[in-house]
Amino acid sequence: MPFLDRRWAVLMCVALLASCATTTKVDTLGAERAAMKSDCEITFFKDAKPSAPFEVLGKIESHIAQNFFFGGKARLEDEGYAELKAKACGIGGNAVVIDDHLQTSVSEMTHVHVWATVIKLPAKQ
Amino acid sequence: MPRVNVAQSPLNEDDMIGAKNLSARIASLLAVLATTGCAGTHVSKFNYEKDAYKVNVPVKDEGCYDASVLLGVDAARTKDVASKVVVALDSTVTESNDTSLHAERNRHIGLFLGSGGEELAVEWKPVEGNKTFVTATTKTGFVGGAGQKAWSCEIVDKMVELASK
Repeated sequence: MPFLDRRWAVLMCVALLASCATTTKVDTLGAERAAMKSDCEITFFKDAKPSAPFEVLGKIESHIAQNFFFGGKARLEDEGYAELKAKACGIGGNAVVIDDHLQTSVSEMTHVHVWATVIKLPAKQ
Repeated sequence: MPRVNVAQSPLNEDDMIGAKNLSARIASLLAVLATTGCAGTHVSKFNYEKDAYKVNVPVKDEGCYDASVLLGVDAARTKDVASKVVVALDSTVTESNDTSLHAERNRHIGLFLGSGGEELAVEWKPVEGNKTFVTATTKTGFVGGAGQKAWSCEIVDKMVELASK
């Protein structure tokens, strides 16, 4: 049944493609900074802001949706931080402050929504 | 004289009775669907009473079509929180002002059944001591009603989650 096999293959591809989706909006503030490598070092501040003075480089709003059956549960500390890190490095930041975040589940989809501020901390002396 | 061939008549008496029964059944089914498919209203039954609410403790109706909460934040933060919560619940804001917002849940074809389309409304008003009284209501519609649910309880729970950080 090659026709049926092909239909199943297409269906599985569609299911896999639909199993996860990430939408991120980045608003840069102030003067543009040179982008760093996407795997640059980023410090995350989830429950408190840094005590040292810092420069605000931008705001990020990210929505990560993942199908529980195909990709497992979406989590802030895993998929969320990975997305924020890539975007923060892209606008030259070295730290991210989590402003708000929510994790929800609707049917088989799990969602992480995060609103964050990308900052530049002064270099350590 | 034209001849009428009874044997070739498209419907005999039994067929007519059957067709009437079928029509009655379809009409009954549509009536049941119409009454069960649509639910909820955007007029909340909850009103702020000073001694009836504790900060960040939601009060909900049985079906979660209507819920309320007194948040310990000002109106500006309440608007921010409400916008974030409805977006996080996979909805699109259709209307927003300084005292309310309306949103509609995005439609999906899921693994089990289609979902989305519920109409959500969040209203708020500042009360004493930098607090804000919030009501959340859900309206479900006839189309796709089987995959729809009431979201008001989840809205106020998530608003408390963000407002109490």
